[in-house]
Amino acid sequence: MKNCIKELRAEKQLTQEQLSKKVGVSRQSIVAIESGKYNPSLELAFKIAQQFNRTIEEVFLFEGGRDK
Amino acid sequence: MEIQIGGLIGLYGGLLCGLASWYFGRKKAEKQRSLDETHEHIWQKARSYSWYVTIVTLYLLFTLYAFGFTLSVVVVLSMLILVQMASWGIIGAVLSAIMYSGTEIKVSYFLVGIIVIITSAVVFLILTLLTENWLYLLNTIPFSVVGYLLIRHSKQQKEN
Repeated sequence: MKNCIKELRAEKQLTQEQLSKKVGVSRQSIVAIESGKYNPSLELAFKIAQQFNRTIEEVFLFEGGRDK
Repeated sequence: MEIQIGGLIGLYGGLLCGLASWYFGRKKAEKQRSLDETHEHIWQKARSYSWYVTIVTLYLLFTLYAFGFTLSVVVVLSMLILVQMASWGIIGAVLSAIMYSGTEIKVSYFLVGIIVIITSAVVFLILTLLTENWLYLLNTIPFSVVGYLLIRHSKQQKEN
């Protein structure tokens, strides 16, 4: 699953650390999510989307198929 | 049957030290919001993989028994607890490194490297215990070097 968190962060001028504080996870988790190595839970995905005033579909792009 | 005071102190002292470091480690991690869902995901996977490593060790021990080697209960239990705990820790650390590293890692090379290191360590540890000749442990060095090179190669693959 791809996502555009990095672009949205840049738009909002948020660092990974600041975003991680807002959604209540570690900075490393934001790194893992941004790089697509980890697909967040629905709850965390909602929290992240909320920070950018977007819907989940606008932040996370499902490309079909089964992820690792 | 005599009570082994030293053994009991080592056993429960080790347990207490382990629990204390686990507790204080978690308290510190909580402050950095590190006990989140990725942490949970990584360490659950690590527990699951360490169970595979333990099963392989059990099979190796059964095979040795079938070949006529016998080990005492203490040695077997120590080996199993060591393999279980060490593989859990190592695999957790490896998965964390893969998950949190900024650069992409070619997982197949990485895993083969780790498997080579762990397998050689388990096999030569068993041989050392069976023969009581610690020199067998030196054989892990070339395997560890090969494993290390594979792990390094896994990083270079995507950096290029």
